[in-house]
This record gives sequence, structure tokens and C-alpha cells, in this order.
Amino acid sequence: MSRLGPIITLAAGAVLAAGLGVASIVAAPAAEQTAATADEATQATRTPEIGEETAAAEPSPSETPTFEDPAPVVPEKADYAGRVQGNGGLIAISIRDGKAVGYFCDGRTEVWFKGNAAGERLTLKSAGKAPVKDTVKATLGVGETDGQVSVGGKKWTFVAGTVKKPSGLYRASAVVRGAEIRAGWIVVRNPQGGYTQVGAASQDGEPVDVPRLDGDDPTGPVSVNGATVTPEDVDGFIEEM
Amino acid sequence: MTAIHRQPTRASVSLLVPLLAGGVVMVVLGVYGRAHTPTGFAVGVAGFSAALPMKVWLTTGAAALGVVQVVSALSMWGRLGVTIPDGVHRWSGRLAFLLTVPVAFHCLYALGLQYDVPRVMVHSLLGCFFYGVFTTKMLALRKENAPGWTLPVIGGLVFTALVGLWLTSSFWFFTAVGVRV
Repeated sequence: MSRLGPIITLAAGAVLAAGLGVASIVAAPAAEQTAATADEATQATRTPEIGEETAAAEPSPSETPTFEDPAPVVPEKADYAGRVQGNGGLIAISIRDGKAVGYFCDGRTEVWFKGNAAGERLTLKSAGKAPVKDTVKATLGVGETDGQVSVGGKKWTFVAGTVKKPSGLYRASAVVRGAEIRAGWIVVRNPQGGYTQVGAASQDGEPVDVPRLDGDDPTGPVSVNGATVTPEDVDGFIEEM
Repeated sequence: MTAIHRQPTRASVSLLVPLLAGGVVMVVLGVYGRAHTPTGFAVGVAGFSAALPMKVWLTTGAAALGVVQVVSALSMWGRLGVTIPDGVHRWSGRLAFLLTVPVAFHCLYALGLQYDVPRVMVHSLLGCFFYGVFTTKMLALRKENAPGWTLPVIGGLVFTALVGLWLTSSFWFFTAVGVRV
């Protein structure tokens, strides 16, 4: 053993980090690369493997320097829904062309959120006029998104998987005989069959009973406090938000 | 966190440079994590479905090697009655350290230092502390006139920080998200 052993260990860590840095800069999404730069990056990442036994930590990079999963490009269209932990409510987040909407509902409290989907991380803010903004902070993963929802000063974590219709987020908004009706629902198909759903409705801002959506046809008309409204899916209402 | 205490004995003076260096590392990592704009993207280790599972498993590997570290250190100090070759301690430590590097790199480069949730705040600060105290440990190894408690105490801090990091990341992931690759 050499006197320099510990120094070499530290240096190997620094070199590995630097190699990852170079590779990340080279492989950054939308970065334009020449082949020469990519080769350098691959070399830089390999260096620590030669010097130290990092084989277990560093599988040989393939021909491209991006040897992790590809850059998490924000999907043009994605729908997530899942349970809010320790709260019993559901949360749904949908992304359409760089715009993100979210809805949290536990049957009593409901909050609509909106924001931009520009990167792997989303920050959505409550859409209403409340003085204190409720927020959703989420990180997009593969097949799921996880994060925190903050409502009325309380915070919960959530993990929401991608969902397909008829699971997802629905909203109804209409003026019927001078009364402003609004409602929101999250529908999640249970693995064993059937649907879990939560929703809330209001008339002129006052909460009213919310009807259940038909899980197999969630956009069929429903009656809110005697007024017939038609729930819309995200594609139908995202322009209005 | 970076305060250097006046050392009561002359031998302790030899720890000044390792402690200062560790303090610098810790502060630099924290300032970097806060000052630069997180990219939301970083290159990492292949073979996992996403960045989070990669980090979760590398951290779990490092924590397991951390246990090997404690056991082999106990043997080195004659507390086990069993002799474990010195190389076990040395190489499990090196491997554990190198396993943490892609994790910390992703944390700092892609996500940055954050403190909006207690778990994340504790994890961020512990992460900076871990590399600082690890640097101190490495530099203190060859200070032969350092006090006898030096390596057990600093090594213990490294292990404690690593366990804290595992609890606030991998353990959280296993319980909140699930065990997945």
C-alpha cells in the first residue's frame, strides 16, 4: 500500500465525477455535438475504470456517451394519477404540449393546478385566486411521476403512475340558468376491476353534491344539483385553463 | 458545520489540514448545489429503468459496503477477535465511495441542493457533510501522530452520514414508491 492510497481514492472519485460531468454536458438534451467531443467524453468516463476497480459501478459505455436512460424528454402528452399518501385523496397530472394541469381532490378539498412542463421537474401552482398558493412539485420518471402536493399549508407526498382512458382527469364547467357549475373528477381503474374515483362540484362557488361518473363512459352527461353538465377530458378543457 | 475547534493537544494539530479540507469540500458542494441551475438531467449508470432506481440501488450497495467497513474496522482494532485482512476494509471503502459518486453527481448536477421538504433538506445537507467528512477521513489516515480517537470518530461520522443518506433516499424510495429496478 502506498502513502498516497487515500489521495488516489479521492482523486479517482473526483475524476469519475468530472467524467460524468463531461458526459452529461455532451449528452445534454438538445445539445449539438461533434463526434470528436463525444469520443473525448467516452474516454473521460472510462479513465477511472482503468485506474480503479469501478467495473461494478461503471458498466462499459456503448458507442454513445449516454449510457444511462436517455434524456428524460418531457412527453408531449401524458396522464398521471395516483393516491396522495397519508391523505386519502387522489391527484392527477396531465401534460399536453408543454402545458401541465393538475387536480387534487380528497372529497372535501379540491384544488386545480397549472404550470409549464418544460423539464423533468414540474412546479404547478393553484389556479384560483387564493392569497396563499397551493403547489404541486413533481419529478417526471419513467411511467410515473412523484412529488409533493401542498394544499392549505399542509404537504403530502404522492406517486402517480401513467394512466389511460377512462382513467384520468375530468372537468365540467357550465353556466346553467345563471348558475355557474364547476366540477372535477379523478378516475382510476382498479387492478381488480372497477374504478376508484373522487370528485367535487360547486355551484356559484358553494360546494354541492358531486355525481359519480360512469367509469366506462366518464364523459357522459351527469347531473350536478339538478343541472345537466358534460364532463370533459383533459384534451377538452386544457385550453380553458 | 465547518468550525474548527481549538485542539487541546499538540498531536491534534495534525488534523487541522484534513478538517479544513473537509470543510472546504462540504461548503463547495453545498454552494455548487445551490448556486447552479439544476439541469434535470445527468448521465449515470446503465441498467436501471430510471435515474431514481439507479441512485437507490447504488446507495444501497454503498450502505451495505459501509457495514463491511464497520465490521472490518472493528476487526482491525481487535474488537472482534477475528482477523479480517486489511485489504477488505480498504477495497470495500474504495468501492463504496465510488458507488456513491454517480449518485451524488446526479443529485448535485441534475437536482441541486434543496430544502423545501424536511427529508430533502436533511438529505442535501448530509450529502455535503458526507463528502466533507470522507475527505477528512482520507487525509487523516496518514497522520500517524493524530490522536487515537481520530479514525474511529471520523470513520463513525462517515458511516452515520451514509446511513442517514440511505434512510432519506433509498429507504424512502422503497417505502414510498416500492422496490423496483
